[in-house]
Amino acid sequence: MKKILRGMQEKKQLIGIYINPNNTFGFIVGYVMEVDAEFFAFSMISETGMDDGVIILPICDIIKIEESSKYLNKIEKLISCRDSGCRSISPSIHGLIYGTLDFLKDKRILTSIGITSVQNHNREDTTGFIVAVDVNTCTVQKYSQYGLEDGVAYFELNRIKRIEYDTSYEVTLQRLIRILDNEKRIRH
Amino acid sequence: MCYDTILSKTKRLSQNRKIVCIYDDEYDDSFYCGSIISFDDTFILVDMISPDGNPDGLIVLSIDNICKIIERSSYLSRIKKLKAVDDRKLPLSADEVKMDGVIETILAIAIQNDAMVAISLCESGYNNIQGFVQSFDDKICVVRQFDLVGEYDGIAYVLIEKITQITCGSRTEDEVMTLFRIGEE
Repeated sequence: MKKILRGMQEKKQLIGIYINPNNTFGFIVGYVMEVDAEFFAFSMISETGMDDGVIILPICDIIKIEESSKYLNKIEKLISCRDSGCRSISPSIHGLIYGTLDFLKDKRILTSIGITSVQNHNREDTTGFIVAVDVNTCTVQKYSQYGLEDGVAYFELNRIKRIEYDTSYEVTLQRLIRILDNEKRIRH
Repeated sequence: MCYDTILSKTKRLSQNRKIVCIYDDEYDDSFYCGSIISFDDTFILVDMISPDGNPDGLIVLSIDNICKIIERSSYLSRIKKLKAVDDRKLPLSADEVKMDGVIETILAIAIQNDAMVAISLCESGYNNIQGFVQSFDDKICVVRQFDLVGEYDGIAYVLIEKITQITCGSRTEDEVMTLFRIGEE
């Protein structure tokens, strides 16, 4: 699958990736951004052809990859009338997970981190800002779904199974955090 | 039925190519009728016969899911009589294909016969992929997909270890194949 992903990345091909063994008809659509030995970064596209953030997943979670299907052709047409592209990650010699976290820390982008595989995916992931990262661990200032600070979490990098940013969840939450911060500032 | 019992039964049945009924869902009374023509540690390959005694393609079933095998029944006697009347040569043959595993065998047969396959993934119970096998290696199988109306629907790269069932040349695939051929004309 690594070879196929790399080929798709080179071709900049829109693809569908099936990753959930409990839902074999569900898939994510988008472009391969980066591939390392274990993980791949995927720029997701929504069903309306809009950017839907980035997800980083283990290559071994992939069940099936699809290209040029009727659905993908439809999405490709919808994409062709938008401008943009998502925030890209710079590959790191320390791997995709470290490189991404470092990038997200520098840019202060709200991030969701999961330590379970995709079939157990739910919104109980840790969401927050990366405040520190080294090759072994990262520290996250957590935020609740209500946009409030919710403690600090420490992760070992080798336990991380999934990273997401710029999806509608993180974008909305980051907006809420900004609104609450502004309100706080006005009160003071 | 335990794995060892199924495996020893399978060995015997594949040698004599006896027509049997195989059940792979303990909560469902439906079954596959046909003869076991190949097996490995995980799967069996069944040459299916339709209720009217005609060849109905091949199916790969997981040994772990097999809960019952029937060797003698009034249904089987009926099928054997019907088959004797209409003993056409099978369009798909496993005899000429020498592969290590059952999955690889059916994929090779599909390529050789230019026959359509339907693949089920991760015990989903549904046909996740339908189309022509383009190529395969020990890890990945590449399929040119076709939808239920016989229209081309892209390329699928499938992890072979996630395949839990394949049918090839059965009535469902034949119908899609007919629609595809009509569309080609």
